Amino acid sequence: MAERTRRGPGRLLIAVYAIFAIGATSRAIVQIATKFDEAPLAYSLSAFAAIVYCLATYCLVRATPLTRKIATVSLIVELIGVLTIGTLSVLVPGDFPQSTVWSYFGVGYLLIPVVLPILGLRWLRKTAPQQAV
Amino acid sequence: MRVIDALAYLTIAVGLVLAVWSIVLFARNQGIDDFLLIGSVVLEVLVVVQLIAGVILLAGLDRSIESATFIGYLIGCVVIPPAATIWSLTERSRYGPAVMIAAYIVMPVLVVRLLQIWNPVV
Repeated sequence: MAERTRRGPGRLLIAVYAIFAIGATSRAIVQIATKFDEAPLAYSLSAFAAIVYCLATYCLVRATPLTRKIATVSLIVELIGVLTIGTLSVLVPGDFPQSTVWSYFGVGYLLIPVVLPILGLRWLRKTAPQQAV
Repeated sequence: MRVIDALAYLTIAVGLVLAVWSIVLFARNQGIDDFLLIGSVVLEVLVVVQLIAGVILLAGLDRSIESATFIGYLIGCVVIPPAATIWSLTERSRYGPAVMIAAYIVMPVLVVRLLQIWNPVV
């Protein structure tokens, strides 16, 4: 089952997750280290997003039954996160400078932050073990 | 044009060529071919030179720029071709090139960001 998750489209999915994990983590570190007081809420959420991406990447790569479950939860949290913060950043823009990954539904990243967890959840469902009849 | 800028533009060009070729392979439902692999090696050489040049130029710079981010992107560029190659090499299907599409779109973006950091528009 691990191989099914990691092969084919899963390989692309994991690659994109890895890119986001590295990008989000670096971004969060720089933001928090240099200008945390400018937007503490947004940058804390940036750190949270980074953690979620790293966790999702790791769990998708390992792809054991347990990590797949964790990945499913991570991706759901990620989806809720990007939708919530996307909405909040539209309603209360002062608290959310452009540069956090989930601001404005990830528009700064071509809306990939919205699409990615949806595709990820579909992939996890598709590669779930077949139930014995 | 300064040499460092020319190098950056060359890196962007090679990256985009590889990205386009990866899209072609994906569309044709083919796996990674030699052109992609050799191209990745060429690109890696370019970004290693870029890293060395970038660090040397940064050390001798008399104005301040976002150094940490700059070095981060330099390193990021160097990591991408080997990581993408290793990750996609064992994938015989079109999703090998698919991984390369992602990697070689991200890479030119990083190089553009490097140029922006180096030449900030005041």
